[in-house]
Amino acid sequence: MPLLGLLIAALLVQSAPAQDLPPLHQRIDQLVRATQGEMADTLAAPASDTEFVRRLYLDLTGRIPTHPAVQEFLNNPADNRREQLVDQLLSTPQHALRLQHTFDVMLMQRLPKKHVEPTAWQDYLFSSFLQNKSWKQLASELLSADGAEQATRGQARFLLDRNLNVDETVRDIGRFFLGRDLQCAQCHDHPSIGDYPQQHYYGLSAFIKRSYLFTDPDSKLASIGEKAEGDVKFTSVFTNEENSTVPKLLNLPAIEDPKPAEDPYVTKPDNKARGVPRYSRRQQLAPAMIADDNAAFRLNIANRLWALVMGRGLVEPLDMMHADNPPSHPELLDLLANDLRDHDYDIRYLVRQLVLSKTYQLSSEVAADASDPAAQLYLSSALKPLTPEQLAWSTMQAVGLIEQTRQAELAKLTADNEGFDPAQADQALQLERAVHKALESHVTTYIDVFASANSAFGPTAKQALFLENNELLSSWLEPANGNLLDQLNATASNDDAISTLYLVVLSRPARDEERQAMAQFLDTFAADRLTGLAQATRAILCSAEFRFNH
Amino acid sequence: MKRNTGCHPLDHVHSRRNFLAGTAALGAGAMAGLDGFSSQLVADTLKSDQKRILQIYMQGGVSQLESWDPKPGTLYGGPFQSIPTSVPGLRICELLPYTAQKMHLLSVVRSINLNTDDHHQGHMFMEKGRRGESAYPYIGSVVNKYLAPTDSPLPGFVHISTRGLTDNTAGFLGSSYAQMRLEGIVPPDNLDRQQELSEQQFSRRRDFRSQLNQQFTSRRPKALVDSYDATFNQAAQLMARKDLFEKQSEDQLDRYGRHDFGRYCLMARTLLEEGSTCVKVTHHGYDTHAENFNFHVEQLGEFDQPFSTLLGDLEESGMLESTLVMVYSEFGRTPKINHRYGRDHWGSAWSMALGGCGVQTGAVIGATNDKGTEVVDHEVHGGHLFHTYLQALGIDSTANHDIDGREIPIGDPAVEPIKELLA
Repeated sequence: MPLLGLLIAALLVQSAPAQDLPPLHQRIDQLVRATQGEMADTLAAPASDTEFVRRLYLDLTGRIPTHPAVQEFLNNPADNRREQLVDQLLSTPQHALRLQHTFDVMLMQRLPKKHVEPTAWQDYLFSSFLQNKSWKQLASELLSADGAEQATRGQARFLLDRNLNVDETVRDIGRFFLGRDLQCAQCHDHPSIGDYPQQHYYGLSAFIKRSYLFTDPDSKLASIGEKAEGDVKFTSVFTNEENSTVPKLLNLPAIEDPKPAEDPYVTKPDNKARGVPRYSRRQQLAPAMIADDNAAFRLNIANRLWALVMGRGLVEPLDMMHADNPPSHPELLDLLANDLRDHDYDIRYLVRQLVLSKTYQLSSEVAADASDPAAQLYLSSALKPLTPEQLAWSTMQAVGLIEQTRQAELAKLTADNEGFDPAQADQALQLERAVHKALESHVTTYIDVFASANSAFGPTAKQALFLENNELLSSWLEPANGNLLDQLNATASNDDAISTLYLVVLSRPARDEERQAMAQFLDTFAADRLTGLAQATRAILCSAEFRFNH
Repeated sequence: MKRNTGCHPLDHVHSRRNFLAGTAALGAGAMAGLDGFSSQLVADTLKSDQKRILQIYMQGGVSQLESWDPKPGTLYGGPFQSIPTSVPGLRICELLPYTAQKMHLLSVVRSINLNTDDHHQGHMFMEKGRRGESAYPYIGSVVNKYLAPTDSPLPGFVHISTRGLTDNTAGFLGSSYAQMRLEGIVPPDNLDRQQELSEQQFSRRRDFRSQLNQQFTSRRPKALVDSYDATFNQAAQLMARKDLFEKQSEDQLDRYGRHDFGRYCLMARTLLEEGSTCVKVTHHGYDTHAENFNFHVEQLGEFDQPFSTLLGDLEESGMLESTLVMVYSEFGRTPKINHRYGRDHWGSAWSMALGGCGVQTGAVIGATNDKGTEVVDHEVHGGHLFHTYLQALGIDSTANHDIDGREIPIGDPAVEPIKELLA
């Protein structure tokens, strides 16, 4: 077969040079630099080690580093210590938790519980990220789950807790898997976005239109059933032209139904039974979504992971990818998306490459002569407001509550299990889960106060009052069992206390003028040093430097 | 006039910038006298450019027949008479004798048809100017975004209500513009500093916090950090004005009434005087499926005096010229009286009152038929009203919100304001 031979030869030619290319993070830097032009003169300095270590811990583990972790990193003499730290953090359960939070908020938008226990969903995400499940597999599981088996309840939450409402589900599949908010194309071709024809909305809805929410009469559990019939028709409110469509993903070929079987059902739907057709339109969605010919799928996730790490998407808003809203760096987005595909949608691979880039590792302090640099030029590292989860975990880290809790949980586990050894990976994980569980209610408190309906930064007076006066936070600033205030209280001098405070809470040494300012502040509490130390800590916890990842 | 009825029309981009330029740089200096208008400066400052909005939300659905659109002696008119008002020829229900004397400050819209009898749907339509579930912001959040000065001495949008409705008022505008809900006149959470801290110590800590920020912010993009810092100023203002939540003046309570709604109206006046841009007061309890008439005697008896006192005070101080007042529900009540002497949900032919901020006064917009069963003239819905409020406030409701580069029409592009109400 000469044709096949040619094809293979062509593929070989295409893929051969790939091995000689520099690693992705260097190609990222080249493409970013290429757009900076003369503005490159105002490039920020590279991030210092202390700047880097705090940023990396926040981005990868969702919390600031402990003081010993900072010291360990700074004392590591290896040239590639940053790379070592990246690899170390990517394999921690904290990283899995960070991605769990990120994808939970992205996919579920903090929607209230309807049919699936949020813990089942969260556990599913946590395990998925812990084993570094590919985005391809994760997406496929989310879109094909029916929730009929106990084991798939968690992953079925994406569909079930939207009640499988067609409008809501189609919109969110478009936004989170394809980077396109097709809502406006529901009633007519999008008036100003040529790339969003009405056909896209209905082509997508045809995958799920036959599916419905089935409530088991005995267990009362809702799962997804499907009928073997039902077509999608739509009419533009502008033209009154009637159309119909079978399942069709964006501009990809329509997926025609096979010839109907004589008996179209495996299980015929009725009040007592969940309908299962022989040919399921819904089950065509996952394979079509993750297929290599669906470029939107990889562009979307590449853009979202870039935004997670860099603070803004190459396409903004993240769900408005179309020809009239091009990426700031088209070639770069293609590179990320294609490289991700070539690495089998390995999220950890892409995140690793992103944080290894010089672009990521710039200082957030803008050069003196660049007062208002355009964010999309990446001349300095973006300020990223901590998410409610990051803020909660970082605060608990800073005041020593995580370590306190870890010790308490370790004591419990050791008492309950003879030979419990947190040096063993599985038992370390067990301990980590126990810590998560013990601190969960505090995280919820922070979510209640700090979560915004949209993901944009929206600070409020209510939040400031919480940070300044809330009693829970006050209670964390009382000395106990080796926590931060206990350590500060035990210092011999205010100068020592100031050193510790800066290292623990801001992950960096204090500068001279900062020492002076804080010493003066502490002096005003002379009679009550402990109160002074607690208030100095609280002031730092309320500062912008703590509130942002920088 | 050609209208773009698409979802994201792009032709109004510039008008938004223009009106922002026009309303920028509104002043500080609105802090001062709390009790009455002892400080002329306050009133003068507030009278000048700053526009604001007072929303009185009659939750549950006030009966139009027992309020703004009485039909005594008709089939469904009910037992109450109508009374003359300060506007010749305009009559309202006898349950509103005090308000009747202030009707020259208001206009009445008698032709609202929302096409829904659902509490939530109706409320959303009236607040967002859009039908159905959506991420659109409430009028109060829109006003907070575009009219509240960045150095506003109090949160821009305050809602006084006793029931914990979880309102996502800001929608896609983001939580900075969300309402701050006050549980009646109870202070917000975390308003008290830690007991063991003296005021002096607390204020030193606050100064120290600002000092900490200076170095950090000196070489970082300002916008984010500034918006974060602004919330500490608001928190400080709320803490400094804890007196707002303490004892209200006895003299004023004599005028407003000592029941909850009276106290809330007095609080609303204080908040508006002190610089809040949108104050919403919810008066609960109009969902009168049974005993509609007895309940309206009670409810409107509570409403009438405090509301008219508040309206009169705003007029006297000159603030009414720049304060849009809207008195509204999520729907009205059925003309037909049910077997429990109740009236049920009725979204298709009902009324509201509005005034201030240059809105035409003494006008009656639209009409229902003799029995009050349908709108026969100038039918409007939440979308028309939404445009009307915003345009009265000087906001171009045909412009777009710019949400991270996404253009979203402020008002529904398919409808227009009620021109008769706009001067």
